[in-house]
Amino acid sequence: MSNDISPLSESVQHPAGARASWTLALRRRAVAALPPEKLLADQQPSYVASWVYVFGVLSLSSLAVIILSGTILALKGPAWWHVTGVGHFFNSIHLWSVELFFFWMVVHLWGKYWMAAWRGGRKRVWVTGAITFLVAIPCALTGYVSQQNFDSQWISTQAKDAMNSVGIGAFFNLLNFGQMYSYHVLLLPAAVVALVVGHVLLVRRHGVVPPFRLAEEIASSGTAAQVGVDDGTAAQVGADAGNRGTEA
Amino acid sequence: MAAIFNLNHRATYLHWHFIDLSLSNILVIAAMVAVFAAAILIPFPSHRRTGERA
Repeated sequence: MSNDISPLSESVQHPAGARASWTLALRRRAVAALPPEKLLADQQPSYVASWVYVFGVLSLSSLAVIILSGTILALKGPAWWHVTGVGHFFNSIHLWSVELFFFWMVVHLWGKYWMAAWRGGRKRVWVTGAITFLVAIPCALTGYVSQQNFDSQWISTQAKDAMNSVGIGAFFNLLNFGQMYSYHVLLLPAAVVALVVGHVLLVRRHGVVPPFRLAEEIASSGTAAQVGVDDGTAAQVGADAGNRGTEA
Repeated sequence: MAAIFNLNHRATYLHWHFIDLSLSNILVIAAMVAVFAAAILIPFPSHRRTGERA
Protein backbone atom coordinates (compact mmCIF):
# COMPACT_ATOMS: atom_id res chain seq x y z
CA MET A 1 0.00 0.00 0.00
CA SER A 2 1.40 3.34 -0.97
CA ASN A 3 1.66 6.20 1.45
CA ASP A 4 0.94 8.88 -1.10
CA ILE A 5 -1.81 10.48 0.97
CA SER A 6 0.07 12.73 3.31
CA PRO A 7 -1.70 14.62 6.08
CA LEU A 8 0.86 17.37 5.89
CA SER A 9 1.05 19.84 3.09
CA GLU A 10 4.25 19.99 1.09
CA SER A 11 5.05 23.39 2.52
CA VAL A 12 4.75 22.03 6.04
CA GLN A 13 6.83 18.95 5.28
CA HIS A 14 9.50 20.92 3.49
CA PRO A 15 9.33 24.48 4.79
CA ALA A 16 11.31 26.93 2.75
CA GLY A 17 14.79 27.37 4.14
CA ALA A 18 14.33 24.59 6.68
CA ARG A 19 17.51 22.84 7.73
CA ALA A 20 17.71 19.14 8.27
CA SER A 21 16.88 18.40 11.86
CA TRP A 22 16.13 15.35 13.94
CA THR A 23 12.57 16.53 14.54
CA LEU A 24 11.95 16.79 10.80
CA ALA A 25 13.52 13.39 10.15
CA LEU A 26 11.54 11.83 13.01
CA ARG A 27 8.30 13.37 11.79
CA ARG A 28 8.86 12.12 8.25
CA ARG A 29 9.60 8.62 9.49
CA ALA A 30 6.62 8.61 11.85
CA VAL A 31 4.15 9.82 9.22
CA ALA A 32 5.55 7.40 6.63
CA ALA A 33 5.32 4.47 9.04
CA LEU A 34 1.93 5.34 10.44
CA PRO A 35 -0.09 7.83 8.39
CA PRO A 36 -3.18 9.23 10.16
CA GLU A 37 -5.61 7.19 8.05
CA LYS A 38 -3.97 4.07 9.51
CA LEU A 39 -3.43 5.45 13.00
CA LEU A 40 -7.06 6.46 13.40
CA ALA A 41 -8.79 4.27 10.82
CA ASP A 42 -12.55 4.70 10.49
CA GLN A 43 -13.09 1.25 8.96
CA GLN A 44 -11.87 -2.25 9.58
CA PRO A 45 -11.96 -5.29 7.29
CA SER A 46 -15.20 -7.29 7.28
CA TYR A 47 -13.54 -10.29 8.95
CA VAL A 48 -13.03 -8.21 12.10
CA ALA A 49 -16.77 -8.59 12.72
CA SER A 50 -16.22 -11.56 15.02
CA TRP A 51 -16.24 -11.92 18.80
CA VAL A 52 -12.70 -13.33 18.61
CA TYR A 53 -11.44 -9.85 17.75
CA VAL A 54 -12.91 -8.11 20.81
CA PHE A 55 -10.62 -9.54 23.49
CA GLY A 56 -7.77 -7.16 22.79
CA VAL A 57 -10.05 -4.18 23.35
CA LEU A 58 -11.46 -5.81 26.49
CA SER A 59 -7.89 -6.19 27.77
CA LEU A 60 -7.25 -2.52 27.04
CA SER A 61 -10.45 -1.52 28.85
CA SER A 62 -9.44 -3.54 31.89
CA LEU A 63 -6.00 -1.93 31.84
CA ALA A 64 -7.60 1.53 31.82
CA VAL A 65 -9.67 0.62 34.91
CA ILE A 66 -6.54 -0.79 36.58
CA ILE A 67 -4.61 2.44 36.00
CA LEU A 68 -7.48 4.66 37.19
CA SER A 69 -8.28 2.65 40.33
CA GLY A 70 -4.57 2.19 41.08
CA THR A 71 -4.01 5.93 40.84
CA ILE A 72 -6.76 6.53 43.40
CA LEU A 73 -5.32 3.86 45.72
CA ALA A 74 -1.84 5.41 45.43
CA LEU A 75 -3.24 8.84 46.29
CA LYS A 76 -5.09 7.65 49.41
CA GLY A 77 -2.77 4.97 50.82
CA PRO A 78 -3.14 1.66 52.74
CA ALA A 79 -4.92 3.10 55.79
CA TRP A 80 -7.70 4.26 53.47
CA TRP A 81 -8.04 1.13 51.32
CA HIS A 82 -8.05 -1.18 54.38
CA VAL A 83 -10.37 0.77 56.66
CA THR A 84 -12.96 2.81 54.77
CA GLY A 85 -15.88 1.50 52.75
CA VAL A 86 -14.95 3.55 49.68
CA GLY A 87 -11.37 2.33 50.07
CA HIS A 88 -12.57 -1.27 50.10
CA PHE A 89 -14.59 -0.55 46.97
CA PHE A 90 -11.64 0.83 45.01
CA ASN A 91 -9.38 -1.91 46.34
CA SER A 92 -11.84 -4.48 45.00
CA ILE A 93 -12.20 -2.63 41.69
CA HIS A 94 -8.42 -2.72 41.33
CA LEU A 95 -8.23 -6.43 42.15
CA TRP A 96 -11.06 -7.54 39.88
CA SER A 97 -9.94 -5.38 36.96
CA VAL A 98 -6.55 -7.13 37.23
CA GLU A 99 -8.31 -10.51 37.26
CA LEU A 100 -10.27 -9.51 34.15
CA PHE A 101 -7.15 -8.09 32.49
CA PHE A 102 -5.46 -11.47 32.73
CA PHE A 103 -8.66 -13.31 31.79
CA TRP A 104 -9.08 -11.30 28.57
CA MET A 105 -5.36 -11.38 27.81
CA VAL A 106 -5.29 -15.18 28.00
CA VAL A 107 -8.31 -15.54 25.69
CA HIS A 108 -6.79 -12.89 23.36
CA LEU A 109 -3.54 -14.88 23.36
CA TRP A 110 -5.35 -18.12 22.52
CA GLY A 111 -7.22 -16.46 19.65
CA LYS A 112 -4.10 -14.92 18.18
CA TYR A 113 -2.09 -18.12 18.62
CA TRP A 114 -4.59 -20.26 16.75
CA MET A 115 -4.87 -17.75 13.91
CA ALA A 116 -1.03 -17.42 13.79
CA ALA A 117 -1.20 -13.68 14.25
CA TRP A 118 2.50 -13.30 13.43
CA ARG A 119 1.77 -13.85 9.72
CA GLY A 120 2.23 -11.09 7.15
CA GLY A 121 5.09 -9.25 8.79
CA ARG A 122 3.41 -9.10 12.19
CA LYS A 123 6.20 -10.71 14.22
CA ARG A 124 6.74 -7.60 16.32
CA VAL A 125 3.01 -7.39 17.04
CA TRP A 126 3.09 -10.92 18.41
CA VAL A 127 6.33 -10.41 20.34
CA THR A 128 5.21 -7.16 22.01
CA GLY A 129 1.95 -8.84 23.04
CA ALA A 130 3.76 -11.85 24.48
CA ILE A 131 6.26 -9.67 26.39
CA THR A 132 3.40 -7.55 27.74
CA PHE A 133 1.81 -10.70 29.16
CA LEU A 134 5.11 -11.73 30.78
CA VAL A 135 5.77 -8.26 32.26
CA ALA A 136 2.20 -8.08 33.58
CA ILE A 137 2.81 -11.15 35.76
CA PRO A 138 5.44 -9.53 38.08
CA CYS A 139 3.34 -6.37 37.95
CA ALA A 140 0.46 -8.31 39.52
CA LEU A 141 2.77 -10.16 41.93
CA THR A 142 4.22 -6.90 43.29
CA GLY A 143 0.65 -5.69 43.73
CA TYR A 144 -0.30 -8.72 45.80
CA VAL A 145 2.71 -8.16 48.08
CA SER A 146 1.96 -4.42 48.40
CA GLN A 147 -1.41 -4.87 50.06
CA GLN A 148 -0.04 -4.37 53.58
CA ASN A 149 -1.96 -7.23 55.19
CA PHE A 150 -1.44 -10.86 56.26
CA ASP A 151 -2.23 -12.04 52.76
CA SER A 152 0.65 -10.01 51.31
CA GLN A 153 2.99 -11.31 54.04
CA TRP A 154 2.09 -14.88 53.19
CA ILE A 155 2.49 -14.34 49.42
CA SER A 156 5.80 -12.49 49.79
CA THR A 157 7.39 -15.15 51.99
CA GLN A 158 6.21 -17.94 49.70
CA ALA A 159 7.25 -16.17 46.50
CA LYS A 160 10.60 -15.18 48.03
CA ASP A 161 11.62 -18.83 47.89
CA ALA A 162 10.73 -18.93 44.21
CA MET A 163 12.86 -15.84 43.52
CA ASN A 164 15.78 -17.30 45.49
CA SER A 165 15.52 -20.59 43.61
CA VAL A 166 16.12 -18.84 40.29
CA GLY A 167 18.85 -16.60 41.69
CA ILE A 168 17.20 -13.18 41.54
CA GLY A 169 16.13 -12.84 45.17
CA ALA A 170 19.08 -10.58 46.01
CA PHE A 171 17.95 -7.70 43.79
CA PHE A 172 14.23 -8.47 43.55
CA ASN A 173 13.43 -8.81 47.22
CA LEU A 174 9.78 -9.59 47.86
CA LEU A 175 10.22 -8.88 51.58
CA ASN A 176 11.32 -5.31 50.80
CA PHE A 177 8.02 -3.43 50.75
CA GLY A 178 9.53 -0.16 49.49
CA GLN A 179 11.12 -1.88 46.53
CA MET A 180 8.01 -3.89 45.69
CA TYR A 181 5.75 -0.83 45.95
CA SER A 182 8.07 1.16 43.65
CA TYR A 183 8.06 -1.67 41.15
CA HIS A 184 4.28 -1.93 41.37
CA VAL A 185 3.26 1.72 41.06
CA LEU A 186 5.95 2.96 38.67
CA LEU A 187 8.44 0.68 36.96
CA LEU A 188 6.30 -2.28 35.91
CA PRO A 189 3.11 -0.33 35.05
CA ALA A 190 5.22 2.04 32.94
CA ALA A 191 6.70 -0.97 31.15
CA VAL A 192 3.26 -2.54 30.60
CA VAL A 193 1.74 0.71 29.30
CA ALA A 194 4.73 1.37 27.01
CA LEU A 195 4.51 -2.16 25.62
CA VAL A 196 0.75 -1.90 25.12
CA VAL A 197 1.11 1.44 23.31
CA GLY A 198 3.77 -0.08 21.06
CA HIS A 199 1.60 -3.16 20.50
CA VAL A 200 -1.45 -1.10 19.50
CA LEU A 201 0.60 1.14 17.20
CA LEU A 202 2.02 -1.95 15.50
CA VAL A 203 -1.49 -3.37 15.10
CA ARG A 204 -2.54 -0.08 13.52
CA ARG A 205 0.46 -0.14 11.21
CA HIS A 206 0.18 -3.73 10.03
CA GLY A 207 -3.57 -4.15 10.30
CA VAL A 208 -5.51 -6.91 12.02
CA VAL A 209 -4.39 -10.36 10.91
CA PRO A 210 -6.85 -11.92 8.41
CA PRO A 211 -8.27 -15.42 8.91
CA PHE A 212 -6.37 -18.26 7.23
CA ARG A 213 -8.95 -18.98 4.53
CA LEU A 214 -9.33 -15.34 3.51
CA ALA A 215 -5.56 -14.90 3.30
CA GLU A 216 -5.29 -18.02 1.11
CA GLU A 217 -8.14 -16.88 -1.14
CA ILE A 218 -6.54 -13.51 -1.61
CA ALA A 219 -3.15 -15.06 -2.31
CA SER A 220 -4.61 -17.53 -4.84
CA SER A 221 -6.50 -14.77 -6.60
CA GLY A 222 -3.21 -13.03 -7.26
CA THR A 223 -4.16 -9.80 -5.56
CA ALA A 224 -2.06 -10.24 -2.46
CA ALA A 225 0.29 -7.43 -3.39
CA GLN A 226 -2.65 -5.10 -3.91
CA VAL A 227 -4.49 -5.94 -0.75
CA GLY A 228 -1.40 -5.93 1.37
CA VAL A 229 -1.46 -9.35 2.97
CA ASP A 230 2.21 -9.90 2.30
CA ASP A 231 3.42 -6.44 3.03
CA GLY A 232 1.59 -6.38 6.32
CA THR A 233 -1.10 -3.80 5.61
CA ALA A 234 -4.16 -6.00 5.86
CA ALA A 235 -6.24 -3.12 7.17
CA GLN A 236 -7.26 -2.62 3.56
CA VAL A 237 -7.93 -6.30 2.81
CA GLY A 238 -11.67 -6.18 3.31
CA ALA A 239 -12.31 -3.16 1.14
CA ASP A 240 -9.80 -3.96 -1.60
CA ALA A 241 -10.79 -7.60 -1.95
CA GLY A 242 -14.40 -6.64 -2.43
CA ASN A 243 -15.50 -7.42 1.09
CA ARG A 244 -17.66 -4.93 2.88
CA GLY A 245 -15.67 -3.03 5.43
CA THR A 246 -16.79 -2.72 9.00
CA GLU A 247 -16.82 0.59 10.74
CA ALA A 248 -14.25 0.73 13.49
CA MET B 1 -17.08 -12.39 47.91
CA ALA B 2 -17.02 -13.68 51.46
CA ALA B 3 -20.65 -12.61 51.76
CA ILE B 4 -21.56 -14.87 48.85
CA PHE B 5 -19.26 -17.84 49.41
CA ASN B 6 -18.24 -19.51 52.64
CA LEU B 7 -14.48 -19.03 52.70
CA ASN B 8 -13.92 -20.38 56.21
CA HIS B 9 -12.32 -23.60 55.10
CA ARG B 10 -9.21 -24.77 53.35
CA ALA B 11 -9.15 -24.39 49.59
CA THR B 12 -10.09 -27.46 47.56
CA TYR B 13 -7.22 -28.74 45.42
CA LEU B 14 -7.39 -31.29 42.64
CA HIS B 15 -4.40 -33.54 42.02
CA TRP B 16 -3.57 -35.47 38.88
CA HIS B 17 -0.01 -36.79 38.71
CA PHE B 18 2.20 -33.72 39.00
CA ILE B 19 -0.66 -31.32 38.26
CA ASP B 20 -1.95 -29.59 41.39
CA LEU B 21 -4.65 -26.97 40.83
CA SER B 22 -7.08 -25.25 43.13
CA LEU B 23 -10.75 -25.67 42.28
CA SER B 24 -11.13 -21.91 41.88
CA ASN B 25 -8.30 -21.78 39.32
CA ILE B 26 -9.83 -24.70 37.42
CA LEU B 27 -13.16 -22.87 37.30
CA VAL B 28 -11.47 -19.74 35.92
CA ILE B 29 -9.66 -21.80 33.25
CA ALA B 30 -12.95 -23.50 32.34
CA ALA B 31 -14.61 -20.09 32.06
CA MET B 32 -11.85 -18.89 29.72
CA VAL B 33 -12.27 -21.96 27.51
CA ALA B 34 -16.05 -21.45 27.48
CA VAL B 35 -15.70 -17.77 26.54
CA PHE B 36 -13.21 -18.64 23.79
CA ALA B 37 -15.51 -21.30 22.35
CA ALA B 38 -18.50 -18.95 22.54
CA ALA B 39 -16.54 -16.21 20.74
CA ILE B 40 -15.92 -18.58 17.83
CA LEU B 41 -19.38 -20.11 17.69
CA ILE B 42 -21.68 -17.16 18.38
CA PRO B 43 -22.20 -14.91 15.33
CA PHE B 44 -21.22 -11.28 15.73
CA PRO B 45 -24.15 -8.85 15.43
CA SER B 46 -23.68 -7.00 12.17
CA HIS B 47 -25.18 -3.71 11.17
CA ARG B 48 -25.97 -2.63 7.66
CA ARG B 49 -25.05 0.75 6.36
CA THR B 50 -27.75 3.17 5.36
CA GLY B 51 -29.29 2.13 2.05
CA GLU B 52 -27.41 -1.17 1.90
CA ARG B 53 -29.29 -4.36 1.06
CA ALA B 54 -28.56 -7.83 2.33
